[in-house]
Parts: sequence; structure tokens; C-alpha cells
Amino acid sequence: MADFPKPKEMFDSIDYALPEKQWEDVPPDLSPGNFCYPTKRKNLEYLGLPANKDEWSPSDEDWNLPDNWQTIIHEGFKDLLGKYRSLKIFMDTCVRCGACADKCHFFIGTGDPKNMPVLRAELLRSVYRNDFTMAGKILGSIGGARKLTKDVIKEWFSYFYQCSECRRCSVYCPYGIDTAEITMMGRELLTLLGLNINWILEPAANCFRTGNHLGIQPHAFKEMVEFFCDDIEDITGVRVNPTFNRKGAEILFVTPSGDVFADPGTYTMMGYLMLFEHIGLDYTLSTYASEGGNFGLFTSADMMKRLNAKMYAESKRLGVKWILGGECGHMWRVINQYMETMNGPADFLEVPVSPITGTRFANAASTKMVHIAEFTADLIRNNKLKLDPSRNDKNIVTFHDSCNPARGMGLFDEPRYVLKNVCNNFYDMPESTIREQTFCCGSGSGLNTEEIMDLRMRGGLPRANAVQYVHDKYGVNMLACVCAIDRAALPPLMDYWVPGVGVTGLHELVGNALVMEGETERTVDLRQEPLKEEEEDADE
Amino acid sequence: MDTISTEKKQRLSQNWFSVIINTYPTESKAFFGKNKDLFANPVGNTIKRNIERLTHEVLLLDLNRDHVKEALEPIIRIRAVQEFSISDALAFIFAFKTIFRKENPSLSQTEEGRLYLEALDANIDEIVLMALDIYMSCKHKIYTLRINEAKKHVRQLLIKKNLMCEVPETGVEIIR
Repeated sequence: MADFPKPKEMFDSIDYALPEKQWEDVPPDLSPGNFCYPTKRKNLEYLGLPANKDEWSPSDEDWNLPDNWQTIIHEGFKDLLGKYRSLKIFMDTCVRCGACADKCHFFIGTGDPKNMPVLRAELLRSVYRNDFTMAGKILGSIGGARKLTKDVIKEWFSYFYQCSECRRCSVYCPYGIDTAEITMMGRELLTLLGLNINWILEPAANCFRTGNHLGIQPHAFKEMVEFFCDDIEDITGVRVNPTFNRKGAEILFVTPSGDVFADPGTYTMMGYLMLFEHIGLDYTLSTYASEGGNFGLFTSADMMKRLNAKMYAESKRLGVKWILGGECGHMWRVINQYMETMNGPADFLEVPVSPITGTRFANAASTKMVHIAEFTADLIRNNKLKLDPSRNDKNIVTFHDSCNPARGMGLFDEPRYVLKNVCNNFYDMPESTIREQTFCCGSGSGLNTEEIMDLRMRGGLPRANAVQYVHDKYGVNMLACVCAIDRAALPPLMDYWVPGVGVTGLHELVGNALVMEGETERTVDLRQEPLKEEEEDADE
Repeated sequence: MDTISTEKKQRLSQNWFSVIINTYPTESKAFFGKNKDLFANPVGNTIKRNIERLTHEVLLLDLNRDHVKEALEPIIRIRAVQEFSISDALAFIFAFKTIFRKENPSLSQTEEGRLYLEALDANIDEIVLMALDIYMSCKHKIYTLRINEAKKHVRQLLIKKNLMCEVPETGVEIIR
């Protein structure tokens, strides 16, 4: 049973002191280092988004908003309220119970009250009351309403880009208010004024032009994957042979481009390629749908829909039966929460059936897209893989539930099942920090940019603190995850808070443990480092 | 002065902790100060645990720098990435001089007491200097992480695409 506080403890915890200033009167800190760099105008233009502004900085006093900026926001807000009944409910039903207040990693790390989800939502809700409710119009500030001013816009920009849309707060809300969706609406409204950040819109624009966030062209994408094939051959003696844009393949495999271009994701990519070769999967990669990530989720519903459509357009063009998706975060949130009503149903595809085990993935009957962790867990459960977990013995592993697969699709047990089969040393972090209660890496939803490194470190503190616990208690030295943003964001987070803990994708560990047909004796892991620590020490 | 009671040490530590917690906004003081769940409130609990250790160390006239560093480092590591200027982040350390004097008002009336206070003040000053070093090393780490992230974006690609060629590892035969 939960350890509830005694009545006296509860009374003692009430602080009767009034704040020195009302929250509305405390301006956001927009000094350099406290905001993400704003987007370049060219990205807005490329994506067909309103580009009202020339180059600007949030630290400028005057943001040169268009003359009719208030009308743009008012009409935009009205439009969103008309489109999404959920938004109207979220605006109306909050009773300020405070259940969410101390659940946000940014609040826990900063102590800034505007990072309490309830107050972050209030930034938008106060304007909603003023503009769209009778009580707000009559009672004004007494009724919690406030007028939309340029300072409010600045506040929105500051705090809607200090939310990683992880949805931990929504787990605790008794009314089920999804504060992440409030942030999404806030960002969508800001985008109407051309206010968005470069780390989101540049990848989104690149995705339109070359198919992936980094702007890698098709031939370079293919060459990079072939480079991994060379590495795999060096390590295992087995040549893997992926195909590209092959019509008639049974399965299209889509993964975040970070797996192809950023370490340690690249080792996870090698793990996928080895697995598919080993089981003889009839699959193809696409240089057009070469990105699982969907930065539209952080921009607007329309942008999310347009980017998500690429994968399905490509699967239709190639004539595949279904889609297998790699270790990505927000790709899965889009697929599981929004795909059906946005782009779906994908009725030109078939309900996924594993060609190896015959398992029918009924949970993917609408989206026709299966998560690689489910796919691999099914292979292991049906004894289709020969695994040598001792090859991962130098890794003492814990698992970070990436927010989107965890809270967005309930993927808790499959990755753990795979981990327990591919490594001998696995320890979970404390219960209140994993599964649906998992703490964010602190850099999700487009915040994984270097100019706000301090903010990322304080936002990631609760996650790092739980890793520190298992590091001290069990000697954990490897943090596994199923998200490309995590694989990019967690290494610096560990480096700052828990030095000595590395970061890996799930399928990197699968690739290490997988005993492939015809392979030579392995002496190194996928990072080309000795399999055992003694060998590493002997080399030094 | 080796007779400071456990209760008094706890009061000193609690008061020192309150000084730190009071540097946060009113709305978050209660949470940082009173939530005892290590995982729900890492900031408050890390500070509380280590300020207790630091209180114990600072009261020893013969300062053990290693022990002080172990207690000080986790606190400064947190405050170095929060929205404080360096002076605001570290000012709490000086506060112990006042906290101790308030708790021991008669101490300055004896020679032995005055000598103890002098030694204690010297300890505090030394701890401030150590905190400065720790703070700067944390900031240095942040800048290094930022630089590494910027470098990493392109470097691996250039190497893998053979657009950049590094000097081989020692022991690799070099063809001249």
C-alpha cells in the first residue's frame, strides 16, 4: 500500500506564505542560454508556414510581431477550439487540484512554478477565459482571465519550449487532461506568428526535401547503410545484404535517421540489419521514407499529418504488406495516438503477420505498423533466435522507458523481455521512475539542442538521479532505451550526472548476443570494442 | 567545542538547509523542503543529505577537504545548472557564519569561543573557495558537452564518408 503522509505531516507541508509577486507579474528569463534559437526564415518558407519575421532573437525587446498579431492568435485559438473538443474540455475542466504540479521533470529540476503543468496550461487557459468565456469576460482577472499581450507571447515561447511533451503529468491528472496537448496547441499558435525554433523546423524542412531530418541525400543514406554492412562483416564474418526501395518486398522497415547517422544509434542499426539477415526477412529500406521521426508533432497537426503520410505513401508505392518500425520515440506516439484519425486507416496494407512465427499483430490492425521490440520479443518467445547473452556480460544494464513508446503506446514489457534474454545483468530503476511513470530524458519534443544544455541537465536530473541509484546499488554501467532522441540526449546527461554510464539501443545488445549462421568467433562487440573487460584492460 | 550536541547539529543543519531552500521561488519551497521521496524530489533530498554531512565537517576545526568535497559537490552540481548567478548559487555557504552565531550567542564572550569562531570562519571561507572550483568545473563540463555535441553532428559523417582522414592509431603500419 502506498505510504500516505499523516494528517499532521500534510498540514505542516502547507506553506501559507503568499508569493512576493503574482505569477503573471514575473517575466520569463529570456537571456541567452535560456531559450532555443529561433528558426531561420527559410525553413518557415520551405514548409509553407507563416513567415512574418526576419531573423530575430528572443532576447530582443521588440519581437517585430505582425501588426494584426492579436487577431491571428485569437482566430487561430478559435479555430483550434472548433476543431478539437478535447482542447475545450482541457481548458474548462481543470480544478487546480495540484496532482500534476510536482510531477514534471522540469519543475522538479528547476523549482520554477511556471513549469508546474497546471501553471504552464494556465498560460493558455487565462487567455482562453478572457477571449472565449462569459465568466472571464465579466470577471476579468478575478476569474483567472488575462488579456493577450506581447509579454504573454514571450511567456508562451519561453515555457512551451520548456515542456518536452512527455505526458508524465497527464498520468496523474484525475480528469485526464493531457498537458502535452496544451503545449502542442500553444506551439501551434506561436507558429502562426512565425515563432518556432530552428532545432524543430530545420529537421522538418529537411524531411520534406531529402526524406530525413539531417538532410542526407538518398545515395549517402545508401552508402552509410552499406558501410555498416562492411563493419558487420568485419565483426561477424557474415555479409548482410539489405535492399533499398525494392518493390514487392513483404515489409518496409522505417527507423529514425539518427540510427543511420549518429552514434550510438548506428550500432542499433547494425543490430537490426543482423537480425533481419539472420531470420531471412523479406524487407526493404527506403531512401524516401528514410525518417521515422516526425517533428510535425512539435509544430502543428497539419505538419504531423504531412510527415506521417510519407511512410504510408512509400509503403503503397512499393506494394509492401506492412511496416516494421525501429526504435523511435515520437514516431510511435504519432502512429498510436493520431495516425488513425489523421491519415488512417491504412486499409491498402495487411494486418501484420510475422513471416517467421506466424504471429498476427492484431494490435496493429489499424496502423499496420509493428514495433521492432514487439517483433523481436515474439521471435525470442517462439525460440527463433539463438542468443549468447554472455557477450553482453561487461554491460550491467538498466532500461529507460522512453516517454512516447511507454506512455504513448504502453510498450513496457517487450523491451524488458528482450533485454533479459540478451544480457545476463539487468536491473530496473525504482518503480516510480519507470514504465508509465518514467522520467523524460529532459530533451524531448525538439529541445535536444546544445544552446540550452543547462536546461536539459536540470530537466534530466530526475532520470539521472534514478540511474545514479542503480549505478551505486548494482554497478549499472549501461542505460538501454528505444528512442533516437534518447540515444542522443542521454549520453551528455549521464556524462554530467552519472559519469561511467553508457547509452545503448535495445537492438545493439540484440546484435551482440545474436548467434548468426556461419559467423566467425566474435572478439569484439558492435562498437568494435573487446567483448570482455579483461581484454580491454590487456590492450591498454 | 567538541561537545556540540547531536540536536544542535541537527538544528544547524536544518537552518542551513532552510537558507538554501529559501533561494527558490515561494511556490516550490514547500516541495523542495518537505517532500522526502528521493526519486520524486532529487533536488531537496540531495541538498538535505549533503548539507547534513557538510555541517558535520565544517564543525571540525581540522577540515578534511576530501570529505567536504564529497558533500559539497552534489549540491553545487545541481545549483550550477539552475537559474542562478554564481554569487546567488554559492551565497548560502557564507550564511553558516550567521546561523552558527545565532545558535551560540555567548561564544564570542570567551577567548576559547572567539578562537573557535575564527577557525570556523576560516573553514567557511575555504569551503567557499572549494565551491567556486566545483562550480567552475561543472560549467566547464557543460561547455565541453555543448562543444562535443556540435562537433559530433558532422565529424562522424565526414570520417565515414571518407571526406576526412585521421592519423591512424599507433602501431598501424604507415605506407610512405
